[in-house]
Amino acid sequence: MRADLSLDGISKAFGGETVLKDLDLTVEEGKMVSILGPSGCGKSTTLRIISGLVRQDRGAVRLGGKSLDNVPPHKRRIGFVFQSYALFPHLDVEENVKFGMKVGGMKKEHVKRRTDELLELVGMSDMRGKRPSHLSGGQKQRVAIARALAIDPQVLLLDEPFGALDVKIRRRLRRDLKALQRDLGLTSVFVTHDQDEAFELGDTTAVMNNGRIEQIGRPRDLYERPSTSFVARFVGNVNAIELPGGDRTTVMVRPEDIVMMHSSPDRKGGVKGTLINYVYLGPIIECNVRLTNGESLNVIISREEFRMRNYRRGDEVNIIIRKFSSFSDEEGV
Amino acid sequence: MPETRSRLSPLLKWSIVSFGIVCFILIIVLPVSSMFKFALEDGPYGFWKAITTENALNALKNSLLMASLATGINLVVGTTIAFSLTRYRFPGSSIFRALIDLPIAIPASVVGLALMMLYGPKGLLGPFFESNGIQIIFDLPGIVLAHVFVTFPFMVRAVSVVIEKFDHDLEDAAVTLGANGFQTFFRVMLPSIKSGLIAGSALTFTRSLGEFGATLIVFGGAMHLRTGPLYMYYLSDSAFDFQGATSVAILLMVVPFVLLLTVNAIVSRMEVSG
Ligand SMILES: Nc1ncnc2c1ncn2[C@@H]1O[C@H](COP(=O)(O)OP(=O)(O)OP(=O)(O)O)[C@@H](O)[C@H]1O
Ligand SMILES: [Mg+2]
Repeated sequence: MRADLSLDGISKAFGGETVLKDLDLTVEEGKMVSILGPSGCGKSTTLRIISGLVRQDRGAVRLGGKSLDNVPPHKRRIGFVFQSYALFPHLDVEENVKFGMKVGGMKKEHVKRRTDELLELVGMSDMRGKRPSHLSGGQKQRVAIARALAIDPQVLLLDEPFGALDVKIRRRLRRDLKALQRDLGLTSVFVTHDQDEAFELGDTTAVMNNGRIEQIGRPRDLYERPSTSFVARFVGNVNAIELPGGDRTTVMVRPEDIVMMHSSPDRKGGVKGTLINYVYLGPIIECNVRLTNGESLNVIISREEFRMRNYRRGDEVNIIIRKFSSFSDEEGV
Repeated sequence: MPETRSRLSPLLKWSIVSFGIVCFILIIVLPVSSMFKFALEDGPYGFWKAITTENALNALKNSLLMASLATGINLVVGTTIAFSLTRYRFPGSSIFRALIDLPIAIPASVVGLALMMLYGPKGLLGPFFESNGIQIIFDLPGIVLAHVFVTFPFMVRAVSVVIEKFDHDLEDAAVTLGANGFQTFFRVMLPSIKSGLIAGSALTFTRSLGEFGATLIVFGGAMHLRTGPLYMYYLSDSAFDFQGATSVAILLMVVPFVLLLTVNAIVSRMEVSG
């Protein structure tokens, strides 16, 4: 049996407040699942339950089919990378990496060899004698990753590891982490509330809300076929509008699924509106259109089209919705 | 001097400042410096002689002994209590927390009396210990207990502060890396709270060196256990040897002062190096 990680029906409450509700999740061996969700939805709690730092009220955590529930956290061999880095401040880089191997009673020569390898792997060999307080955030997180890998983890958990870093360093680390995870074939769970990060890192992405996984899939599935209104709203941008026609259903429309043209007397179809504002986003332009019924709509068009049609603020436009989705769980807005 | 914003007239400002300085001199500086006149009456050699008599050396030794014992005991007891108060909630824990500082508010002589009422010859437990051949009051255990009692809040406070600052992710990190409870405590917690242990020890040690009121009551004339402050009191109050008393007094003042300065320097260095 492959060493897949699976969570079966995990529930957890803190003092009466239910945080995880019957949560199921499977991570195939060697794959990385990213968990994407808003603050407070239970992402960290999920990771802490996998690592054994927090005990679930119900449900089971299994690895390769075997339950981990009776394995204490320090014996699980599950690597954990924290947003706060959690490097030991009194130990230098090298000693931080060695920590897990030392407490595990590994032989000295082996510890030394492996430490060298790991520092090399994360590009921190030159910094081995430095204290964490002398490192930048990005460097600290590299050390933390090396330290977690040192115990040869069966699973690697990362809880918003790049959350405190600036965009450039995030991108770089993200790419390095993905390469490393793929090369080493690490079964991993990566938690974030950054969609780009979730999509780039995860082989699949689980969208989490309110203690549940709402949908799990590849970015394209989540974007094009969201199974709940939450996923539709949370992944990418979406317009929630009331369909004209009087049946009062609310639908979700992606900004790029809208066709916009200048209105002219001979255009009959579509809805009329006014171009209120537009924002240059490089290759695309995001336009804000106010419909005659007062609703506001985001429309995305290409730069070429924008230039060709020569749009200005205040232009009268005509809108046609090419594609929309509606959800039974949507209560109307 | 850094600029301070003030709308007060310069005259008023300088009156306030000079009043403060004059008060400080009258209240603190004058009494302390007048001791030097007496201590150095017979020159530096007289001072040296006074602090190296057999009795003085014995008192100094006793003071260091009591302070060391009180510090050692508080390191264990105070740290344990600091842990239980900052890390765990249990029935009555908030009451416990509020009571911790009580020894600071209790007059030292009251502490002495309280110990007497428990361990003294007529105390609640004293006769029991005595019948088993254990002497507490008027002996070393009584004096040490008095010192532990009065210094106890210092250690608890100093250690609580660093435990509260401790980043719990470090503990979680250690556990996920395979450290058991002991390893986590000794390899991660202890190094992180070291500065608090040192600061608490320094406070305990200095407070213990100066302890007088409680010791006076429980020491009961056991001369071989007489501590520095008691010896100083004896010299000035019974022997009327003011040169000797002030010499010992200066020693009792300088030793803790130097100790505290040193420890503060060490602790701030530790904090800088992270
Ligand atoms: N030890 C705890 N005791 C009480 N409540 C807790 C505890 N841990 C988490 N919670 C609560 O559980 C909920 C989910 O917390 P969790 O940390 O798992 O969210 P998260 O998705 O990681 O959020 P974020 O993106 O902000 O990190 C929150 O409402 C939080 O207050
Ligand atoms: Mg979290």
